[in-house]
Amino acid sequence: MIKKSITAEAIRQYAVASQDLAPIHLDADAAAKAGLERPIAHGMYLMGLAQSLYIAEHPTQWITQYDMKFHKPIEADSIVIFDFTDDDCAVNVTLTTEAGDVIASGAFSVKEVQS
Amino acid sequence: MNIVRHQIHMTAEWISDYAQSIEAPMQRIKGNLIAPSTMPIIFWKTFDIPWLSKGESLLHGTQKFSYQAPITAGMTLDCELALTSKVQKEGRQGKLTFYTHTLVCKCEDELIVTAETVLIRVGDNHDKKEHNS
Repeated sequence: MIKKSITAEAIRQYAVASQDLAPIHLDADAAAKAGLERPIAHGMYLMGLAQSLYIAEHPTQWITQYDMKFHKPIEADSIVIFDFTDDDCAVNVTLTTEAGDVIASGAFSVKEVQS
Repeated sequence: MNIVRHQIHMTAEWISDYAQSIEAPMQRIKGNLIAPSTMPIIFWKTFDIPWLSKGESLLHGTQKFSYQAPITAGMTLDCELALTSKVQKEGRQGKLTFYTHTLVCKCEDELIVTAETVLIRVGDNHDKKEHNS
């Protein structure tokens, strides 16, 4: 289980790299219009971050299959808990808030990198 | 027809920039950088997608990637993005429209990755939409 702070700056950096500059991710006024206190993280930032946290611990593996369902948005400057559980054929990953609300859930399969 | 095609050249710099944005460790195969598994989602921004319009946000419902081989720096990918289905359902928030897209990328006619993206529009139907996630 890994706790990670999802900062507004990290969201901004992802927005620039991905060119997904939708105001809901970057602009407080746009977030407020959507009934949110702060801009929200990109779902794909969280999915990418989950794979990065796993690969950081397993650097000789690459992901061959990866599925994720996005359940609810997470606002900037929140803590996300990444939980990884292995079964026989996949690694299951669940992202939750500190209150236990599920943000996203999925699974991936890995292979050894043939260097 | 709801299909667009685009050729994408993978540079080490582009992979590195994307990897840094998601804090991904740099991985290599035969000396070449491997793109993080989620990177094909940013290929969307290289397409001109006529069935989507700017200014409207869609929810990102699900995302899938299936690889035959890693994407590595130096590859030139022939990519095809297609709107493969549009399904309407009634949800608690009213009408929901699910748009399923498939992105297929090949290198020298060999399949590298297939990605499926489901975007959701909440509310009444419109002719064009834009994804936002």
